[in-house]
Amino acid sequence: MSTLTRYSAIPYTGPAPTNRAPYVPKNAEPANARGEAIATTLGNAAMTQERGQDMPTFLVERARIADVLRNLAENPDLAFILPLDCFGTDYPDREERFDVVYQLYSLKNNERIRLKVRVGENDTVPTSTGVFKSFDWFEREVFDMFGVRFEGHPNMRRILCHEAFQGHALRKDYDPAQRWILTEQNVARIIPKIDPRFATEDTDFERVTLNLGPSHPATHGTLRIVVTLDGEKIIGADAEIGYLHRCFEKMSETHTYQQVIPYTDRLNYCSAIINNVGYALAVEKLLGIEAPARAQQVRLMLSEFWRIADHIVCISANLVDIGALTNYWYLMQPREEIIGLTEACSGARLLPSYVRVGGLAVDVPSNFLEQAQRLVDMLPRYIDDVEKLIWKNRIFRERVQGVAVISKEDAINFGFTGPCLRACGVPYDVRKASPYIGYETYDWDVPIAEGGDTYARFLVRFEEMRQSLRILQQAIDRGLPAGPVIVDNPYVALPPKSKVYNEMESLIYHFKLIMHGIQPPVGETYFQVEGGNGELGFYVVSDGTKNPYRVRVRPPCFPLFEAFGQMITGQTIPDAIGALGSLNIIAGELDH
Amino acid sequence: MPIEKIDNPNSIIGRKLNQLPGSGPEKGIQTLPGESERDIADFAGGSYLTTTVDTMVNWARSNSLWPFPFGTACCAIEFMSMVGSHYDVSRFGAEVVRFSPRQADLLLVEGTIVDKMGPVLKKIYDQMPEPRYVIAMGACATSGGFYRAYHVMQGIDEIIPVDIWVPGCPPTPDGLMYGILKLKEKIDRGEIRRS
Amino acid sequence: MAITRVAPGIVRVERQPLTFSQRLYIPQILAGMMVTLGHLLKNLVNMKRMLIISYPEVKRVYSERFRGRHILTSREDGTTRCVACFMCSTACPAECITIEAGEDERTREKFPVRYDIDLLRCIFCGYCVDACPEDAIYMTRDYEMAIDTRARAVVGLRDLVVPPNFPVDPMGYRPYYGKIQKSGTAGGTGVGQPLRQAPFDDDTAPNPELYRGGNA
Ligand code: SF4
Ligand code: SF4
Ligand code: SF4
Repeated sequence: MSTLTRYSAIPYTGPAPTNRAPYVPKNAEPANARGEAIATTLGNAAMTQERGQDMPTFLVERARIADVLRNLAENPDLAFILPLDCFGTDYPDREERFDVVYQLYSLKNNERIRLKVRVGENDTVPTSTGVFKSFDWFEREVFDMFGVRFEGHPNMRRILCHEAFQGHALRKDYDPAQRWILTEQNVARIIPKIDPRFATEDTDFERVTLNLGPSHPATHGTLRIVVTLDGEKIIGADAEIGYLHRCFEKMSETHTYQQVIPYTDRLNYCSAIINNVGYALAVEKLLGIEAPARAQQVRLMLSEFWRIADHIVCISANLVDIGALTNYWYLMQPREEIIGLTEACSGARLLPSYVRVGGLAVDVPSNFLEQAQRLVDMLPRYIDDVEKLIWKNRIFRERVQGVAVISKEDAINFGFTGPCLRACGVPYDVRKASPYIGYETYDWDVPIAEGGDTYARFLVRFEEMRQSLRILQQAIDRGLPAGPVIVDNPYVALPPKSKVYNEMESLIYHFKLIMHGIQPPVGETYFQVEGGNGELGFYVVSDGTKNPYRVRVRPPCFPLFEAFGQMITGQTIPDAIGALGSLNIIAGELDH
Repeated sequence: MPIEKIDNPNSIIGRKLNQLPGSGPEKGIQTLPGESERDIADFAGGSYLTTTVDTMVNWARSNSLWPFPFGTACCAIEFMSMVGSHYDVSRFGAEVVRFSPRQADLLLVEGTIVDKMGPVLKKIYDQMPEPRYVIAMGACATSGGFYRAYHVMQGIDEIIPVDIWVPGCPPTPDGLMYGILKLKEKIDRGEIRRS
Repeated sequence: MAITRVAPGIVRVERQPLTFSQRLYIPQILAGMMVTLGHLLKNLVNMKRMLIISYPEVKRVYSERFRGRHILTSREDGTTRCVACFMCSTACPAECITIEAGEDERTREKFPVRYDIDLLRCIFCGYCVDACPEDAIYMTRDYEMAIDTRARAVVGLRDLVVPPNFPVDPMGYRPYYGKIQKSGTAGGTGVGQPLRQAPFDDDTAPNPELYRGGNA
């Protein structure tokens, strides 16, 4: 048999990626123009614009950063009042080797801005905790990971790594596997001190300090809260995190773009697929490709199913905390069915790793829509049951109404997003504000509630489940578009197996992709999706090689838990437990 | 035993009846070393014809494991599924989830143990009364999994002894139940680690 | 729940104060009990519809994509399909596959002398299956993997290789990109070759790099 005849070229005709080409975002022009407009409005000489980015980006003088942030927040035309993220990046070849990056969002204009500060190894940055309370923890994280010191920060110590840790883990010269052992002698040193902001002076009774966690049934895993009590009243609270710091960001730097996907699963493990989607979309944005329509719709449907599952876990665990155990069993039943559907698609129950950069790992099973329809029919029954059990129950109402209130202004200043922000009456939802994977084509509403207490958060979550069901019903009615589920680009997606087995060219592409990985153009990008708890953003920096240079996840839980200490001050312990559940803190995402 | 397929109109999950743990078509391959064929009755705790006090004690121990779920991460969510309505672990007498180590005799380590958490886990283990058993659930607890990282413990056997290792990431609830059954079997055999 | 539309695309869920009868507490408790009682009765009347899976007597049937324990497939003549190309171990995010390649004297073809998967490291992501160009590694629906020593969790060729014509029924995750029509192997030949001696023996110690021992 002649062997050569059966080889044929596969139909990809697009260009091969040239390694180390610069990344040109699709919206670079409007972002440049908008950046100029912002600079004119502000009239601030301390900012120089970085052009060609996916959002208006400025390089700010180190000493002026706090002022610039304040101006951006207080300018009535710009109103960048929602702090999204503050993180570092390390470029060891540069003289001022660190970038501290700030990202803000303007609820008024629905736009984002990125500010960068260059910092040398021995420099300090003025703290911006005075402008945004949220940046307290974010700056501590930058310090922990990079060793950048913030001048004037009230509590400049490690946040994620333990106290016996030496060095700064996200520096490029830090060995990813270098561990430092924490002994029991060291543990005594990590007693957190009560944040002076929260402690009040006068006490009626003897002061008691009580430690909750990190292994406490009510703290859902690995959260630790130290409260100071005056009688029954909490007069000060501090949270200690890092008990699940699994080094997501460092691990991403040592793996290829596709291999990061299982790691993203494990951020918010209650809605893993949304993390997959967010990361894949960020890398796709960097690559300038778009997944096929069929893949996008499956991504959307599974995201909505898992948003429901996420809310189910939150609600049922929260109800267990306040003593309503039956609901747990009622709500876990539909969740198990959602897991069943996911397992039928991807092969794994909880952490599916189903999405790939460029599409999906495999096509959905042929009866996907029927099964989805069965679930959509089934879910409201269970939700109704639980509503019947709790809404009109006086005990429940008194446990949740007026508990752990956070005002709208505080919530924004703390960087809240997602259901907790909407429970304060701010209708910000990424799916509406900057729609992705086709959310704009569905008819649905963003639910908000007034009050900002635990009850309001319950209301929003229940209504969101119903809205998700609405989206799902429409998606099922439309049917899945025909076509492939992954892009036909051998530099991104593995060629079909039937071709790999039988054609030499595909086999070579296959080898090359496994060995050399995806190599996006050089540049940085940020993409945000609406996770179960709020805006889940991925900031990806590529240096043209197969491993990401830097992956930063913007964890929505982080600011939520940061504000928790303030929210429970003045409450009692049982209320604090109920409030903690209603925030839905997922440790995997909180500590990344 | 004939295999029966069960259809439940309320659920999209398929089921089948009458299959031994560690058997079935998926076990057509060689079993893992150390596995042997057993009767369902042994697993479900049905063999209570005891002859010596020791066996009696072991039987009692193995059928009332009170777990302390040391759940830290994703595996804890699968543990929630296991105590949930579909898998209802109370059928093995292991439903009394104790959140106090003093009242528990089975430490279920679910999820990643990072270095910061290590001393906490050690302390909890030390507080448990004898006899105590440890099941390490999932890749992270057993070996660190794919987190070969600067802040993740590479397996909890660095600090405490482990009786049963359950691979998976996360292990399915049935996989974890199989682990619990294996532990029961180990206790029934009288292999108790004292440390 | 009462819903008010406040703007296009935004609805407000209203907080509802409790009415007097609801504040009385007892009626609502009874109403709640009715819900639970309804569930109880429903389940009693129709036990078949109960959602519980009484493992181990009843087992859940996972889908054909379930990512459980791995197997290495064989060609019709009984040789393993694997050609020790290291693609799976490269693609594996957990780096839990250790391969040592050998070369067949007669056919000049590579084959694995050692193929170890550390099941405790493995995260069952299926990347190895996606990466294999030889259709050699599949995953099964086997989830019953609990073991009592850490060393035994490293499975080698002895535990992984299955005979040819292994039934499809227990198979889990396989290469799924479209329909597979395998007319030959692009990487190597297979059919019609003489049987290769199984390259493993039973007392090989597990690879010391894969586990840190102490517990065996
Ligand atoms: S083993 Fe997997 S599922 Fe379990 S905690 Fe670790 S990453 Fe999560
Ligand atoms: S399933 Fe994933 S972790 Fe396990 S061996 Fe395959 S590639 Fe590695
Ligand atoms: S990728 Fe396939 S052929 Fe290559 S070493 Fe792995 S199992 Fe063997």
